[in-house]
Amino acid sequence: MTGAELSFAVFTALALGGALVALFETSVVRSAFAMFGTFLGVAGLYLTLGADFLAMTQVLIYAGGIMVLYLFGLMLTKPSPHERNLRRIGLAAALAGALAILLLVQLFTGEHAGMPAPENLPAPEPTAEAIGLAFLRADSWLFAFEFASVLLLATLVGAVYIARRRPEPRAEELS
Amino acid sequence: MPTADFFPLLLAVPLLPLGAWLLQVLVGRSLPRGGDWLPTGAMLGAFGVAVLLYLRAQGLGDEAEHFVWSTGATGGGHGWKWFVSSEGLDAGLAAFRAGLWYDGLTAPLLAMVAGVSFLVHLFSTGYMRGNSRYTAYFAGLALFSFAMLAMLVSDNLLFVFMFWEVMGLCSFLLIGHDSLDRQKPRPRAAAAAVKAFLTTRVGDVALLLGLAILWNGFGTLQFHELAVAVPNLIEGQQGWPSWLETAGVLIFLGAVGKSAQFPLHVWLPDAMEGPTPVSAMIHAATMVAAGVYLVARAFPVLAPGVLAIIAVVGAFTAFFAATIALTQDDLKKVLAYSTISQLGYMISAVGLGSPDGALFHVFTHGLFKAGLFLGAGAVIHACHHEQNLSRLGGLRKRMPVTYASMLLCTAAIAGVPFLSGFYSKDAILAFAAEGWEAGAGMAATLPLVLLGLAAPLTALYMFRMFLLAFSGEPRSDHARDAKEVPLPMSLPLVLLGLGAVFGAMLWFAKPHPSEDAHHLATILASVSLVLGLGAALLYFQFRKRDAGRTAAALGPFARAARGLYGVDGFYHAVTVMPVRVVARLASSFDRRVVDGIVHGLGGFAVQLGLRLRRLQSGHIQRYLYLTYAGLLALTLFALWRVS
Amino acid sequence: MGLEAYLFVSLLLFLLGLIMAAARRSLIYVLIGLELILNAANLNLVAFQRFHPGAGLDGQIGAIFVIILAAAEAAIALAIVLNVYSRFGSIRPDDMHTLRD
Repeated sequence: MTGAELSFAVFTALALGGALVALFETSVVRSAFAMFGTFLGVAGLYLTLGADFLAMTQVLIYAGGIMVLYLFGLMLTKPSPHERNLRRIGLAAALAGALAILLLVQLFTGEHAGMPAPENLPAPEPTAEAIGLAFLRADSWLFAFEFASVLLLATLVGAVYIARRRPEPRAEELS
Repeated sequence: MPTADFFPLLLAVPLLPLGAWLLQVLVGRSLPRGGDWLPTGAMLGAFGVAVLLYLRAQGLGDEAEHFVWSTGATGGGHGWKWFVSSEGLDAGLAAFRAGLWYDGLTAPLLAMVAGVSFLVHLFSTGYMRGNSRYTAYFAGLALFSFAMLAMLVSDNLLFVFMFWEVMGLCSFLLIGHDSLDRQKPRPRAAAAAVKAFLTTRVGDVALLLGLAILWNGFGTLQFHELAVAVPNLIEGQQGWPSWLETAGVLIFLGAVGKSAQFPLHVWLPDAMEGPTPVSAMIHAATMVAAGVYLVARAFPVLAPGVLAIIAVVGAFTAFFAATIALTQDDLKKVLAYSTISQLGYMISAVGLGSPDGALFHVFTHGLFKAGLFLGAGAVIHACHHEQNLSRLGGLRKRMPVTYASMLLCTAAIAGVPFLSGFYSKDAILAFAAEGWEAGAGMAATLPLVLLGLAAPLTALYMFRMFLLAFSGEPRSDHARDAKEVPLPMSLPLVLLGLGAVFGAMLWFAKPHPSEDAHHLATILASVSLVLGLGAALLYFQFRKRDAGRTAAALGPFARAARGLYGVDGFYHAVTVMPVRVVARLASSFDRRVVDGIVHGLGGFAVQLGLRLRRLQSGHIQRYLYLTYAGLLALTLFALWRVS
Repeated sequence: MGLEAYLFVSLLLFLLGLIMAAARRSLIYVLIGLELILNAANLNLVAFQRFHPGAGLDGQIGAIFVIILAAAEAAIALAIVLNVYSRFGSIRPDDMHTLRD
C-alpha cells in the first residue's frame, strides 16, 4: 500500500465513519462531533487531491466556524428527549438506494475518455497564491468574490435579525 | 304644395305620450291615482294637436286630399341624418335620412288614432280601477299610443318597422297584463301574450328581410324616394325584377302577421285575454292597423303579381274569419274575428290597387271597432266579467247608453247606408268589382266573390252578437243585475258612437271607383245588408233561437267553423309539438350529457384537489421525500439521455 | 487513487446526508445532513478538477464558493431554528405543520 493509498483510506474512513456515526447516533452533540470528523476527513481528501488551500479553508470554516455555530444552536435548543431517530429510515434508504444504484451503474460503466491514469498526473502545486490571484484579477473571479462578500454581510445582518428575541405569538394563536 | 310648417306640431304628437310613458315608468307609482291622469292627459294633448294639424290640413281645401308634406321632400332642413352606408354612397345617396311625414291620408288617421287612444285611456280609468298593476297598465298604454303615432308620422319604412316592433312589445305586455295580477293571476294571458308575440314575429322577420332587399336595391327607404325610384327602375328594366317582387311578398308577410291575416291570424282571438280596453286599442287604433298602413305605404314597391296575392289573401281572410265569427259564443271572440274579417277587407283593398280605400276603412273601422270593444268592455264590466253570449241578453233597458252606442257601431260595421262603415266598405267592394270588370281569371274574380260573400255574413254575425247581448230576456243573474257604467266609461262610448255615424265625412281622400263598379257595389252592399240583417232578426230577435241551435242547423260546416277550421290545431301539431319534442330532447341531452360532462369535470377536479391537498401536509420532510423522488426522476432522465 | 474512488466516496457521503436529512427527527440533523451533501458535492468538484489537467483552478474556486454559501446557510438556518424553537417549543420537523391548507 503506497502512501497515497494509505492516506486516502484513512481520510475516507474518517469521513464516512463520521457520517455514519452522525447518522445513527442518538445524541445530537455526539452527532455534531462526528460531523466534525467528517469535515476533517474531507479536508484530508482535499489534500490528497492537491488542493491545499481548500483543505485549510475547510478546516478553518467548517471545523472552526460552522461547527461552533452548530454547537451554539444545540446549546440554545432543547433536544427532544425520546427520539426514535430512525423511524422513517426505510423509505429514505430506499430512495437513496435507488439513486445509488443508478449512479453506481453510471460510475462503473460510463466512459472516462481523456482521463489520464493517476500515475500520469502532474504533481500538485501549491494553490494558495493562484487562488488569491484568481479572486483578485478583474478578468477572473473578482465580481463573484465581491458579491460573495456582500452576501456574507447580508447573511450576518439577516441572521441577527431573525434570531433576536422578540415577543412572538405562539403556534396555537397562529392557527 | 303647402308651405305651412307642420314640423313642431307633428313632432309633439308622438312625443307627448312618450314623455307620459317615461314619467309614468319613473314616478308613476308615487303619483296620486297611480298617475293615470298623466298618460290620459298627454293623449288628450296629442289628440288636440292632431286635430289642430287636421284642421290646418283641411284648410287647404281641395288640396287636402293630395297634399304631401315631409321633411325629406319639402321640410327644408328638418329631419336628420341617421347613418351613412357605404352602399348608399355608391348609389349617390349619402346617408339614411329620417324625418316626418304628413299628408292627406295621415291627417285623419293621426287624429283618429290619437282620439281613440285618448278614449281608451279615459275608458280604462274606469275599467281598470282597482287593478293591482294600474300604473304599469297605463305606462304600457302610453307607450303603445306613442309607437303608433310615431309610426304614422315616420317618413320611411325603417322607422315604420322600428315603431312596429315597439308595438309588438307593448301588445305583448298588455295582452299578458293579467298574468301578473296580484289577486288573480291568469296564466292563460301569459300564454296568449307569448302566442301573439311569436306569431307576429314570423311576419316581422319576413318584413325585415324585405326591407333589407329594398335598401340593397334602392339605398333608401323613404316613401317619397321609393315612389320615384321604383317607377324609374321598372321603366329602365321593362318589368318588375324578381328581387323586387320577393321584397313585396316579404313586406306583405309582415303585414299578414301584424294584421292577423290568414294563416297568421291565430294570435288575435287569443289576444282577447288582455283587458278589454287593450283589445280596443289593438283592434281599432294601433296594432292591426299598422299592418294595413304598412302595405298601403309600401304600395309603390308592390308588383302586380304581389298585389294579386294580397287581394286574394285579404278577401279569403275576410270571408273565412266571418264564418268563424258566426259560431263564436264569446262576446269578445266575435269581435276579434270580425276584426280579422274587416282587416281582410282592408288588405284586399290594397291588393285591388287602392291603398287610399284601405286606409279609409282603417279610419272608419278604427272608430266603430273601438266603440264596439269599449261597449263590450262596458258590458263585461257591468256583468261581472261575464262575456258568454248565451248568458247575456236583455241589456237594452239596463244599459241604454251602451246599447245606443253599440247599435250605431254595429250598424256601421254591418254597412247600413250613410253610416261611416258603409262608405268605406262600399268603396272596397267597388274596387273589387272594378277589378273583376277589368281583369279575368281567378285573381280577378275571387276577391269580389269572397268579399261579396263576407258582406252579408258581417251583418249577420254582428247583429247576432248584438241581439243576443242586448235584446230578449237576461239569461243569467249577472246580466240581470247589470247597471249602466259610470261617466268616464260611457263618454267614450257616446263619442265613438257619433264617430261611427259621421266618421266618413272627416276623410279627405274619398276613393273614386268607376261609375259602373260603384253601382254594382252599392247594390251588392245593400242586398248583403238586407240578407244579413234579415237573417239575424229572424233567428235571434223574432224566433229567439239561441246560438247553439243555429249552429246545429248548419251541421258539419258549423262544426268546422267552431273548430276554427283546425288552423290552431294544425299549428299546434306542426310547430308546437315538434318544438316541444325537440325541447324535451334538448333538455334531457343538456341534463344528462352536458351537465354530466360539466359535473364530471368538476367532480374530477374536486377529487383531484382533495387527493393533491394531502401532499400539502406542512411536514417539511415529506416535501423532502418528494424532492428526492424528483431527483430520482431527473437522474433517470439524464442517464437515459446519455445512453 | 483514481477518479472513481473519489466519486464513490462522494456518492456514499451524499447518500448518508440524504438519508439523514430525510429520516432524522430534529432540525439540527436535517442541517447536518445538508452539510454532508454539500461536502460530497465539493469533493466531486475538486476530484474532477484534479483529474482534468488544464482545467485550471475552477473546481476549487467553485468549492470555495460552496463553502461560503454553506457558511451563510448555516448561519441563517440556525437562526431560523432558534426562532422555530422559541415559537413552537420544539425543533422537531413534525411539530411544524402550520404551513398547510
